[in-house]
Amino acid sequence: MKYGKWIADGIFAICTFIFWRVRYPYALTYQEQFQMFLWDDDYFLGRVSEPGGLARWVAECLVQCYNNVTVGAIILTIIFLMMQQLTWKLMKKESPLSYDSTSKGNKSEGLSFFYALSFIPVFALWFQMGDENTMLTFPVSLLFAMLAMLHYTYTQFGTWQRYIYFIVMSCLLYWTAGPVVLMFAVWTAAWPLDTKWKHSIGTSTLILLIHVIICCTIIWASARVLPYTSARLFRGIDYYRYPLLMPYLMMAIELLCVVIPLFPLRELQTIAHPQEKGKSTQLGIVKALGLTVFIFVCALLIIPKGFKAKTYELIEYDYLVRTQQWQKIIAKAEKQNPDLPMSVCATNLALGKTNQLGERAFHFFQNGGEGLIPHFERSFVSPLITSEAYFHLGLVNSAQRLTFECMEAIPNYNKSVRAVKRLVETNLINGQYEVARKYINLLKKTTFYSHWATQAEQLLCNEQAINQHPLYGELRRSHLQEDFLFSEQELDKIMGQLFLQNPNNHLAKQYLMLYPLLEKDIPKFMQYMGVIQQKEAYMPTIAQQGVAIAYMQQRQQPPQGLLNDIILSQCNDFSQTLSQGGMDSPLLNRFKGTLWYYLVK
Amino acid sequence: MKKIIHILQNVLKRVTTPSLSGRVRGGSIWGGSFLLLLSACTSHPTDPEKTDALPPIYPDYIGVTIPVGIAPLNFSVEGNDVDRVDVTVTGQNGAALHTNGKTAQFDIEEWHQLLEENKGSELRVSVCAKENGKWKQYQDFTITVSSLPLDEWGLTYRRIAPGYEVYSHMGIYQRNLSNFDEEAIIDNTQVPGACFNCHTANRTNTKQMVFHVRGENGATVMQIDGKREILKASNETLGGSMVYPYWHPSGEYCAFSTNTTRQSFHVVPDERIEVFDLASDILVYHPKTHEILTDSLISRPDWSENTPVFSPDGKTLYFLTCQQQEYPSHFKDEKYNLCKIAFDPATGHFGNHVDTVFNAVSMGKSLTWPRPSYDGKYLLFTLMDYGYFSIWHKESEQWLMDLSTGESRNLSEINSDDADSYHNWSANSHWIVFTSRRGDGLYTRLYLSSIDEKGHFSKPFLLPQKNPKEYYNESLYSFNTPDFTNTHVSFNSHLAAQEIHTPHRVETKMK
Repeated sequence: MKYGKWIADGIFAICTFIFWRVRYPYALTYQEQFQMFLWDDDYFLGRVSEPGGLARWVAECLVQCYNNVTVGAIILTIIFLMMQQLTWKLMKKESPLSYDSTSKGNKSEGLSFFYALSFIPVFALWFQMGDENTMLTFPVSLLFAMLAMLHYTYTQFGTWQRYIYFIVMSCLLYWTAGPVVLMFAVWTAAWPLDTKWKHSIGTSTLILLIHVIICCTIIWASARVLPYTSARLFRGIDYYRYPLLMPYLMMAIELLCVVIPLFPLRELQTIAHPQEKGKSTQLGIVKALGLTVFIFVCALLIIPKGFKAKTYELIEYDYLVRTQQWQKIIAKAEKQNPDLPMSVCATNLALGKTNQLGERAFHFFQNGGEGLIPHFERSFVSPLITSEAYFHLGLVNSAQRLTFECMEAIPNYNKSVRAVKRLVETNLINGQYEVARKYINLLKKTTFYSHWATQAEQLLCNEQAINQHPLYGELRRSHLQEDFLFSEQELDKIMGQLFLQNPNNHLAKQYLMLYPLLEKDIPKFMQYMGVIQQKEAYMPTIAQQGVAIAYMQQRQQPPQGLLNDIILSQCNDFSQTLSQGGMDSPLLNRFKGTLWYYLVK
Repeated sequence: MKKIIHILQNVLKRVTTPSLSGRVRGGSIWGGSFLLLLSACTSHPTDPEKTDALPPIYPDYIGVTIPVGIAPLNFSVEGNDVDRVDVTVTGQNGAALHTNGKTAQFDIEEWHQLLEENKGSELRVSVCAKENGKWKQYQDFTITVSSLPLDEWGLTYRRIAPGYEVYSHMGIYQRNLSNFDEEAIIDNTQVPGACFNCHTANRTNTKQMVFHVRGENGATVMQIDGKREILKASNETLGGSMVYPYWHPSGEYCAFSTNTTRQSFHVVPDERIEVFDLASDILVYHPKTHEILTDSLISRPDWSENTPVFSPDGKTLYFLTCQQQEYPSHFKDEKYNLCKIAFDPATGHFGNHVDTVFNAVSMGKSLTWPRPSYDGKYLLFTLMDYGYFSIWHKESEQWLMDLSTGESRNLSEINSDDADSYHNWSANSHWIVFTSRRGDGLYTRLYLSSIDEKGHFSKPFLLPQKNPKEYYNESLYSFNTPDFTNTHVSFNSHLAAQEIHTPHRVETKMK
C-alpha cells in the first residue's frame, strides 16, 4: 500500500498535467489574459491591503505563468497535489470524534484504505475550475487555510494560549486568504482545544458556534472599514470573477476540505475490516484499490462535465484569433462547423486573412452580417474577437474602443495584459505616443510582456519605423481620412470606405463583397461589386454566384466572359431545382456550400 | 534590501490606513525612519558641472505660484540616466529646505513652515542631478508663494478610467491638499455596477452635497447637514434623471439638467468619443418640499438647455442653450450659447425672458461649463468647436468673462494644446482647479492656478503627489469634475451604499 499511494499520486499528477496541458491549454491562456500582474510595490500593496489579498497576489503571480501553458499545467498539478496531500495529512491526524488515546497503532493501514477519500476535495475543485470564472485565488486560499489547519494541530499550547492563537491566526488567515477562515473556525472547533475536555455533542456545537461567530464578526467588522459590502467579503473578494456571485459548489468544497479529514476513520475502518483489524491482507489491498479506482473513475466521468463544450470552444477560437493561427481556426471549423456568433466571426476572419473568404465562406455556417462583425455586447469576452476583426480590418479606433471596453468590463476590476498590449499597438498606430508610453511602462513591469514592451518602446515617436512596420504601417495606410461617427448599422459602408482608402486592404474588400450577400441583399451586392471592380478584377466563386443570381433575378444573361461557365450551369441547375421542388426540395442539398443554398435556407 | 524595507514600510502604512485609494501616502513616522536609514547612503554633489539650462523636472513646477498650505511640490528630474537629485529650496526670508534622493521629496512639516515664512515672496530652487555618475547643477528657478490664501481643506473629484460606455472600478474621492492623503467618499466596490458622477458641494461647503448614481441602483443622493436622502433617479413627468447639479447659494435650491445623452465614436485617429444630447432641459429642485420647479423658457421644445448654474447672489440662473440637431449625422452643428434667466429665491419663480450672455455660435464655437466666481466678478467657461462634452475635444479652451464689462478672453496663460476644461473656484475666488489632458492626451489630471486683481492667472501647477512621476505614470484613472472642499467630507459610505442597494427612493414631484 505504501507504493500504492505513490502510484495513485503519480497517476493523479500525470492526469492533471495532461488534462491542462493537452486538453485545455486555452483555459490557462484565457485566465492569463484577464489580469495584469506587475512586479511593483504599489501593486503588491494594493493587493495585500484587502482581505484575501496575499492569496490573490500569489494566485495572480502564478497565473501570469500560464503564458507558457506547460508551466501553467505544472503549476496547477502542483496545487492540486498539494491540496490532496494536505487533505491526507489532516486526515492522518486523529479527529476528535474518533479520539481514543489507547489505540495508537495500525492507523497507517486503515487510513491507507481511505487514502482515496483525500482526492475528493481536489476532484470537486477540479470540477469547479471548469467554470472559467473560478479564480485561482480560491484554491490558493484553500491551501492557506489547510496549512493553517495543519499548523493548529501541531501547536502545543495550553487552553488559553490556544484560544489566543485561534484569534490571532483567524485574523491573520482572514487578511491573507479571506473568508476561508471559516474553514479554520470549524476545524479548530472540532479539534480538541484541550484533550481533557469531554466532547459531548452539546460542547462541540457550542465551541463550533463560538468559533464561527468570532470569524464572522471579524469579516463583518472589516466590512465597516473597507469599501466592500459584507456579502462580498463573505464570498471572498477574488474567489469568483463576478463579485455578486459564488457557486454553491465552492462553499461545498470549503466544507469538504474540513469534513473529510474529520471523518471518524477509525470507526469506519472497523466497519470496513471487521475481521482484519491490525493486519495487512490481500483483501484489504483489494478493497483500498477498489475504492481508489472507484473514486478515480467517478472523477473521470464527472470532471469533464464541468467544462462546458461551447464555452471552451469559444475560448479556443479566441486564443487562436489572438495568436493569429488562421489555418488552425479553419481546420477547427472544418472538423466542427462553428455556430456561435463569435466562432463564426473567428472563422470568417481566418478565411479573410488567408484570402479564402470569397471561395469558402458558405462552406461554413453563416448567420448574416453579424458573422463578420458581431454586435457589441457589454461583456469582457465576446467583444474581444470583434475587436480583433476591427483591428485587422484597419478600424483601429473601433478595435481600441472594444479592447478598452473589454478591459473595463472585467467584473473583478482587473486590468488585462492582452488589452493593454493591444492598446499600445492602437496608440502607436494612431500616433498617440504618450498614451502608448504609459502602457509600455506598465507592461515593462510584467514578466512575460516586458521584452515586447521594450521592443515597442523603440517605435515611440518613430514615424518612419511605424510606417515601415509590416502590420502597423499597413493599418496606418488604412486610416480613414474623413471623420464620421461609427455606426454598427452602416458597417458595409465603412468597409467600402476602408477599401477605397486602401485598395490593398484585402480583408475590407472581402468583407465588402460578402456583407450584402450575408444580409441577402443582392442589389447592394451588385452595387458594391461595381465599386470593387473599379479598383480590382476581383471575382471569386461566391461573387460569381452572386452575380449569376443577380442576373437571373433580372431575367438577363450576364455579359460574355464575366462568369465561369460552370457557375452559370450550376446556377441554371439550381434555378430549375428550386422552381420544380420548391425551397424544401431535398435535391437542393446538392447546392450546400453555395451562396444560392444560403439564400433560400 | 532598501526595496524590501520600503515595501514593508508601505505595507504597514496601507494596512493601518482606513481607506484603500490605490496609492501610497506619505508623512508617517515610518517615513521618517526610512529617511534616516537612507541618509546613511546619501550621495551629495561634489564639484558639479554647471549648466545654464533649467532643470528638466516633472511635473513642471518652474515659475508656478502656489498657496500657503499646499502639499510639497515633489518632483523628479527627467532622464533615464539620473540616479540622484539634490535639491535646495531657499526662501527669500532666509529659511531653506534640502532633500537628496532618487526624486525630490520634501518633508511635509518643514515644507509648510517654509511656505508660511515666505508668504507673498519667492522660493529659489537649486537642483543638482547625478547623471551617469557625474553631478550637474542646473540654473535655479523660482516658485512664488502667493499672498492670496486658498482657505480650502482639499479637493473632491471623480476617479475613473477614461473609457467609452463600460466603466470598471471608479468612485468619488477626496484629497487633502496639505498632504498626499486621498480617500474614497464612495466607491463602486460598495455598490457593484454603479457609476457615481456629478458630485457637487455648495460653494465648497460639503454640508450640502449631491451626487448622481447610474446603473441598476440609480438614484440622486443628497446630503444636507448630515441628513441623507436617496431620491428616485428619474422623475416620470420630467422624463429623465437629474444631472449636472449646482447649488443655490442659500442652499434652498439645487439646479439640475435632465439629459437624454448618447455617445458615438469617431473613426479618425485624433478623435475618440462624441457625447451629445438628443434632448435636455433644466430645472430647479427644492429639497425641503421635493418639488421640481421649471418653466417653459428653460425647457423649450427643439432646444437643449443644459448645465445650469446660479449667480453668487442667487438671483440669476445661467445655462447653455442649443438648437437640437439631427443626430448623429449633424453632430458638428450642435453649438451652445450661454444664456441667463432671472430667478426669485423667495418665490421660486423664473423671470419672463431669457438673455444671451455669450454668443459662441456667432464665433462658430460652442460654450460649456459656465462657472461664476463666488465674488461675482468673473465667469469661467470652456469654448470648443461643437458639442458640450469638452473632455473629448482637444480644442477646448478656458475663457474668462469679466462680468462688470461683459468682455471675455481666452485664458491662454493656463490653456494647453489638449483638452482644458471642467473648472471650479475656491470659495474666496482666488484660486481655480481645472482638468487638463496636457499630460499624455488621454488621462485627465488636475491643475491649480490663482487669479490676480487684474484677472490674470498664474502658471498652473499639477496637483502634487508624493512621487508624481510614479503616481501619474502608473495611474490608469482620470480625475474628473474636481471641486474644492472647505472641510473633510463626512459621508458614511457604508450606510449610503446600503441605502442605495434598497429599492426605497424619495419621489420628487413637479410643482
